[in-house]
Amino acid sequence: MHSSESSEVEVKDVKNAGMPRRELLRYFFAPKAIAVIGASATPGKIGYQILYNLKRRFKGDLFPVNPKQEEILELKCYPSIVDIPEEVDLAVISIPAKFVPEQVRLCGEKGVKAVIVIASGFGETGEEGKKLEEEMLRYALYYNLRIIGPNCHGIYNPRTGVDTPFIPERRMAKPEPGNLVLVSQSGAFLGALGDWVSQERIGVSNLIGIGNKVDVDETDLIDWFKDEEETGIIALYLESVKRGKEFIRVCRETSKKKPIIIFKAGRTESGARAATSHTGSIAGVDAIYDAAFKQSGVIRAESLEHMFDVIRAFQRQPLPKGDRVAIVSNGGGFGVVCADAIELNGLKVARFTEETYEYLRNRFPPHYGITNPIDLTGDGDKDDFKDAMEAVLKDENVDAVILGIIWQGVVLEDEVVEVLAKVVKKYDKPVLGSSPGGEFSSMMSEKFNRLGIPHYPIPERAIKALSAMVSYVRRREEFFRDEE
Amino acid sequence: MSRILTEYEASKLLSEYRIPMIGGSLVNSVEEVARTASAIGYPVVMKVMSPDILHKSDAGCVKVGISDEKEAERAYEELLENARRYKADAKIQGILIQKMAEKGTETIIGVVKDEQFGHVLMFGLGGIFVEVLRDVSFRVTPINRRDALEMINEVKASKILYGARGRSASDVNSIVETLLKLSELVEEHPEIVELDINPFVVYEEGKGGIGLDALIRIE
Repeated sequence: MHSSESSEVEVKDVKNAGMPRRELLRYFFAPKAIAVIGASATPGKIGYQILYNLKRRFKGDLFPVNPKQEEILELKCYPSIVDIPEEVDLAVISIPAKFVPEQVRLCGEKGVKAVIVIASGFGETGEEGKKLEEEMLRYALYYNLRIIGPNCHGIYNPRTGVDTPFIPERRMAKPEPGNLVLVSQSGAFLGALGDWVSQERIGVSNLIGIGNKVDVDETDLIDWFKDEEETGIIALYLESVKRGKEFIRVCRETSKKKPIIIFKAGRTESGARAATSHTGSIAGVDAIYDAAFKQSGVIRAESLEHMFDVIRAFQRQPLPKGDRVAIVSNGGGFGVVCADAIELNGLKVARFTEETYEYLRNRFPPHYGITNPIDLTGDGDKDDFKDAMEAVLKDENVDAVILGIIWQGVVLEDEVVEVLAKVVKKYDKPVLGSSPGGEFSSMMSEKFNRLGIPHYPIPERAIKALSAMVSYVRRREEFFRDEE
Repeated sequence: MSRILTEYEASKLLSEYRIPMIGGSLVNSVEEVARTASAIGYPVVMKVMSPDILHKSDAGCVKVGISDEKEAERAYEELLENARRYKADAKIQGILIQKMAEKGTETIIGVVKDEQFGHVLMFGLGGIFVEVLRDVSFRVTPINRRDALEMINEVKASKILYGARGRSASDVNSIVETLLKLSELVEEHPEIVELDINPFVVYEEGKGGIGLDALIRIE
């Protein structure tokens, strides 16, 4: 029995009867009212931190539920969810595992549409915990409500102020609104990733911890964010995929609209199975995930670092229309390294048009390298960079540009950052950059990042991110062609 | 409960989906051997069909290049003896007599049922490419033609199929067709948990390919 296969409940006294289960997901992200079951008056407790964070950010009504308290954080406290006079869309349950199913039942009676179960001590601990999960799921299906969790951090949405990851502000900076939804199967990772994207100034539509996925799983969420307008990039940290074939189908549809980037842990897990056939003995678990991701159009990140490199590229730059790359730098070695990495990552070093060559020949002194990679040498200043960049961005044989800046010289002015940011914005081609080096280079990279040109400490990372973009665009075209 | 379909049974199912298999006839007495073999046409291959003997060659349960009646009748007795020696209580369906196939490029085409993704197809080139180098590719069913081609091209050794080192190009399309039909077959047979067509021999472009052995496990 699974959520997506079960038909809508037709029982008369069920308040949510007849609502499509997919539509119910809306109430996780944009509820009008939230109840916190297990709200605590004691600072340092999870039930306190959740209420505290919600009170600071959430724009709708907030109801603490705790039979032993009159009031918490100046909010009137209710003995039970069913005692709340107003309608409640979302309930956050933060009480020990064994009491959770009964509270889910009461949420059902109340007509709550979405429930986040924070507590751990469920399926991850053994048979007893699995039984609790099954009980919860039965209520979820009977009352037609959706559950995220258990054993999860829930949701952070900077626009609506839903904020259930119980992390104190001084421990985790909260990301700004943006177009990335970041889903994590691991709660601890969600906090770390959230903190990181915040520092990297990567804006999010939602951070979501999905935990044990008793009801809502990765496929439900990908399917939801496929059509959600504030989200343009879907990234997931996963340890497993629950409904394989449905996952592939949904990802294929979604990839036609927006990129999905997945970092899947457990690569080295041995795929040994009891097998009679050759095929059975060879087919490793990870090889199958790899195939499934390819079929789905999913970009498989090699590491967390790679995942964020790719996210930054997608978030800040337009999609490339092809695989021909120009390199503009003030270091000969940089250009050579880039040309190698471009070929190794399935991209092409662009051949400029005659027009571009002629322009470059006339514009620059003879000791500059004007065939791709362009080498502006240690003599290159900000105007040289500006004109070279403009020339390659205009060139119809160029689909993307890798920008390399060597700061360890005397000629190049700091202002080149602002100058280039302005040029790049005029054209609809992706530009990714790299400023190899130490403290000063990192500072300038940061400046580039802020101005919208993703910058990486080493050029290979920029090229790998670009390569992911190109593969995505190619895959998308193939999916569209499959339909014809 | 798991059950093995022998090559004879597996081939029947595969043929229903128009996957080219060498097939053959099952005989249960030495009297039938000569007539059956000459109807098929020499040279022939003879194999013991038993769900208890999966790796037939290792058990001495395959004889190839049999060129006349006398040889065939002797092979019949020897095969049964070898089978009994390998496993005294092996359940024997009979001796399969099939046409000796021409040489071509050996590939392996298979299916495994994965817990998360259900049926998954596998493709690789035979011999060391699969056994030693694990140079294989996978796709979750159902697949389309593009998926099938990608599966083939993803395998490093597929260059051999396209005619490396003066060899003529192989009938890649026969692999594509087999993969597509296999995808269809497992969609309609959820009980299949493992399937091998090994080898699936591919000939020159335009001349197709054919499965020379198969194994299916159902649950």
